[in-house]
Amino acid sequence: MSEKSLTPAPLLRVIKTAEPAAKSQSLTTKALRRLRRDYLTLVAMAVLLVITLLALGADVITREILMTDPEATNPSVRLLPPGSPGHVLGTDDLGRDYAARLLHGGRISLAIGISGTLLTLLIGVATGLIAGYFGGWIDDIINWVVTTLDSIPSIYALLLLSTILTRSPVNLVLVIALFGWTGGTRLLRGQTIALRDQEFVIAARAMGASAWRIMFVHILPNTLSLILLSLGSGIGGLILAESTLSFLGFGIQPPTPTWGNMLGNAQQFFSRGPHMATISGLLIFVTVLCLFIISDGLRDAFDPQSKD
Amino acid sequence: MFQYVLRRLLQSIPIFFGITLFSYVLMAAAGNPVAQLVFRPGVPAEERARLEIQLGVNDPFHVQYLRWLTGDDWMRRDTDGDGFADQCVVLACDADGDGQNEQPGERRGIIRGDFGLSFTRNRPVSDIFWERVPATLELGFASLILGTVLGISAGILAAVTKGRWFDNVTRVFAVALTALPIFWFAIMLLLLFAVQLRWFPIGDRCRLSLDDSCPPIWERWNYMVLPVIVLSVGAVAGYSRLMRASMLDIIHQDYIRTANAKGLSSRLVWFKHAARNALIPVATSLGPAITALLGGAVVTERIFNYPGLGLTSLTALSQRDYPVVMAFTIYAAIANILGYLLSDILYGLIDPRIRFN
Amino acid sequence: MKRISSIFLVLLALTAIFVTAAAAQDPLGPGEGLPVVWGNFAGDIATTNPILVADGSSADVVARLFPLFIGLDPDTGVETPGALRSIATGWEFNDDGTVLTITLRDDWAWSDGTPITSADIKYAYDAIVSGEVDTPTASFLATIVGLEIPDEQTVVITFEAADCAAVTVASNIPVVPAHHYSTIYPTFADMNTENANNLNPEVTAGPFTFGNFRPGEQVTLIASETYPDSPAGYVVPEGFIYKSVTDQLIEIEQFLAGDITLISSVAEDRQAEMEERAANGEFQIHKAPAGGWQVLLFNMGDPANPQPGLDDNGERIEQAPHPILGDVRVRQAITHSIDHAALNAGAFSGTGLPVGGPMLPQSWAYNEDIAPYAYDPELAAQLLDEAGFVDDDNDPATPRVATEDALYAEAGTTLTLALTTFTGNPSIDSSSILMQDQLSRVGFEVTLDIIEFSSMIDKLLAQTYDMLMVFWGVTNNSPQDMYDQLSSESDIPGAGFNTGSYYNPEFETLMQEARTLPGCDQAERKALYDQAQEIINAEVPYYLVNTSVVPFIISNAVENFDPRENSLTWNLPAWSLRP
Repeated sequence: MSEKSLTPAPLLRVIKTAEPAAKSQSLTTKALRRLRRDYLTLVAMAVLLVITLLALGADVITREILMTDPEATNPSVRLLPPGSPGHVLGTDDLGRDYAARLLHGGRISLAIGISGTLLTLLIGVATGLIAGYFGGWIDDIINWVVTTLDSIPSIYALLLLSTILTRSPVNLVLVIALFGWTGGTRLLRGQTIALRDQEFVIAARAMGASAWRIMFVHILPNTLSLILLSLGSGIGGLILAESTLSFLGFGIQPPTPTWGNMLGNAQQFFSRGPHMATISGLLIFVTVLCLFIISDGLRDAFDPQSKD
Repeated sequence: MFQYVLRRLLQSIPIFFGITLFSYVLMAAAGNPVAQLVFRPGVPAEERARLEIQLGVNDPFHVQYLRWLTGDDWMRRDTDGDGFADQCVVLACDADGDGQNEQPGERRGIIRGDFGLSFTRNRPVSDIFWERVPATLELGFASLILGTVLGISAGILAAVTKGRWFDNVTRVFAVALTALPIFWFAIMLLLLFAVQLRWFPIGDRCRLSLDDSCPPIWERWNYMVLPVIVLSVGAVAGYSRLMRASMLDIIHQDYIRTANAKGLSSRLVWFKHAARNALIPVATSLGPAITALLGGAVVTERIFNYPGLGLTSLTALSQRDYPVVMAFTIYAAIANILGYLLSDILYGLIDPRIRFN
Repeated sequence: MKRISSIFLVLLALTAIFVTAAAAQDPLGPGEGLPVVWGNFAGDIATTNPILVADGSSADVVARLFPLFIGLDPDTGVETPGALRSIATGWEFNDDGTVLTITLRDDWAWSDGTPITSADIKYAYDAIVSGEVDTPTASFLATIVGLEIPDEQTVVITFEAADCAAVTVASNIPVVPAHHYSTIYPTFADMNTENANNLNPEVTAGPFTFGNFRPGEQVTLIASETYPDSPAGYVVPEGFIYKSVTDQLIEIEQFLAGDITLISSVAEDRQAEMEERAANGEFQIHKAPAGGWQVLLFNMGDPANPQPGLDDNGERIEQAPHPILGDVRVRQAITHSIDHAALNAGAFSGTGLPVGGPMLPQSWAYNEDIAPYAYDPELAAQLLDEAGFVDDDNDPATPRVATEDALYAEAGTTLTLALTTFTGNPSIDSSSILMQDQLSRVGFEVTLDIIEFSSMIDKLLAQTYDMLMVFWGVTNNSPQDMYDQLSSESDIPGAGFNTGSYYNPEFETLMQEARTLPGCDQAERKALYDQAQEIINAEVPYYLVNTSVVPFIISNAVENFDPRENSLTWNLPAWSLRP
């Protein structure tokens, strides 16, 4: 029970995928087979792919197809509804082309979501591996930091930090990573503890492998599927968090468009420019929904307990 | 059991210090509050300097932290009763160098529950905090109850009806609700049910009245409906997913198969054996649920003009009222620690296999 | 559509009947009207002690609870003897203009029956200048060297020098119940901590007495039965509720639902709708010019090395100029690059007005001859060429670059400036984005730095910005504000308000002369102020971007709403809301 007394209960929930990497081949094959029949997940993947491609092609599409500039203001054509000549999705309150801004905003929102999640996982995985593998006082210290950070409601910390820092996408990602990594630590720590006494690890150790080699070559690959599965919900969560910060007035500073600050700004124009709030809100919703569905779908597909 | 709780509480002490240190570092990084306090034409430099010394914002970091944590009543003491400090440790008796010693310290520090005076409201932070607690607590409790009851029942029903329409609808809703920007959802509820349909009041906590009467909660439930719905959305979605998953997990396990094989009625098996065991992971998520509620309170109270902790801390944040923000952060953190502790105790109570030793 | 319009007609008819019926009714008696409910965006009150007031919410509440020493005329906005809610009935100067003798009325008492006397002024003054009380008022009274009270109805104030603004200075002294305060605050310093008293005033003398304070929700005040200055003869509303709101959406909907009596700002989104509904007679709209501007400040000193304007002996310190903005032609070019019409449409929802001279048009000292800067990108380009900033690659998309001819910038310096401003204000956000875009078309590269308000204030006072956009409220129509913002004595990094390090000795002399002109003849003073304003207009130490017309929307339920040019609520105690 010493394990238990040190850490809050959720840490104990060790996920049962502890098996050597070789076996996961067949698991992957099975998972892919299951995925092929999960139409909901496939549709979500397709939608997300389209959104991502549009966001990636933002520059080209804006220049060649929309023939406009996302930053060019023109108040004489402000708040045009969708379908107006020259502006497929209308214009915003400063007369900027809404479609162009959505494309560029999507690129930044997705970039924030993806890089924030990756950075978060990077820190989380490293600390989780170290804490779980070494145990002892290293584990205690990491645990102390994790529990401390987790106890502070992240919205306070995020708001606080955004009052200090310039509200740029890079800073936002850094701040998110600073507070978000503890989830990864918890995940990896539990996994590592479960794996470190497995035969294949003991064998590697007996053959003189260094601690780092064991952690990154033997243990890490066995947790990869778990890490990948948390990507989808992580990215979705960050896109939502960014929009909430924007709503509270602490989001990415203009004129840089993101879906979050576009939606935050749109609430001032509910009655005169309802298309703004509708479109940006819908885009966030659909994207996050797809990410969550994919995340769920993958988890089901990779769950060794689920039946074919 | 008692020993276990005691040990857990002792283990919370370093975490508490971690939280104070961390939030203090954040706050100190935010800079100098004096600038805004004296943003009026013609305030002379001496006035600013005086205010800075008074607030102690120019002291070294560790001194400020120590003063904030433990108070300054022991740092500057007045032993001869002339109203000025004469025994000083850590701090200088005459900080501004005007030849006159400063007044004795009166702060007791946050470890003794004294968060100091609010920079902008000139009142003790603890007063401001405690007068806002009831509003947030009533919303929080109502949402927690609604969230767990709705979420758990939906989860059980979904598991029982796995693959049928109820299950599918619940699952879709659970995902869809968590994918909505919550402030957006809240504004839509407000516009539809309060502004358009007039079913509920447009924000606020009580009706206006010239006398100081806010009626008891059951007479103003209509003010709480919309905020509670918004605040419990996350819990409903989360709990229903969690409950469904752990129910399905359980029914594959041997003892349920045994119970089935023994010919027990399926309703009994579902609700007595499976549900009880499936509640274990649900109980453990109580801690995170409290964290989520406190976070959600910021957005919800802001939209519904509900005068609770979230709204106040948002105002304090934009005014850089450090003492208020810090008090709120730390109290929230304590609530979280207690939430996790409660989770663990519940875990043990529900799961007879766990012993607190 | 037809049905809706017929409903409107019926409504109109009903309103008409209601209004005529109401007009015919007897006037309401003391305290018989419904309470006036006022929305408050500024957070909880900090105090109800007039000496301590430092924030907007507290000031609003104190204004309903306490008398004024010297009041303003609601039409002219000028200090006037015998103005409503004030106790000064007359004043005169001695021959050299340094001693001001003020006489007080004797027909008004505090709520506990004690008469209001000169001792109440003396107490407040002593507390403020004691240095023991945390009050912003002390700095306003810095030119007073002494205050005596020879009898209960006379206050004699001595100034360090003759000052045409002496009455304005004196009007900053609050009126407090000295007999009561001296018992609840054993020392002046106790005011800083005695919150129980500060937030629950027992002795007051305004149109209302204190009811209760429910933090985060409301402050309620109850009609006073003894207030002598209500235009109706007595206070009509039963009370006054100062209600916290955090969101404009909530405020406007609560107003439409009848919960709030009046609102003083309308989000752009709803403006057209509200105008239309007011035109249909649903409520009354009154528009008043804003008491200030949105201003773009230029830093004319080197932001890398901010220096004070004067040394300790009051001698001028020469400081390095801003490499780009130090040249007046660049500042002029900026004013001609900005299209106010576009800003007005995009950021000020059509309610904006371009600004001419650097004083409020409603001020007596306003120079009518100064026209707003014209939007003229060609002139701007020409000015920049003259200033040595040229488009070297003939690509309008890249910023201009300094040549050898540039006054202060090294050759090769790009025309890049940071525009610092604060978060959370839609019109600031929108106008800074529009300006960035407009300036880029002339060859400026503007980087936006939209930061949290208090961080921006730090940067402003530290004088480390290039350009900075804020709102300026102007107090008391006083021309002196302009001096505080532009004189070398207020060029103090970290504290002073001449944050752009502007320096013009001629301007300073004119302003000083106008303030201390013997006899204080208004026409002569205005001539001096006119010249000073012309200097400012030519040298552009700041660019007054916009001023607005602010709608004041008030429920039809209010009878006797009588807005005047300088005060919309001067007769609030006579407002009648029929139950």
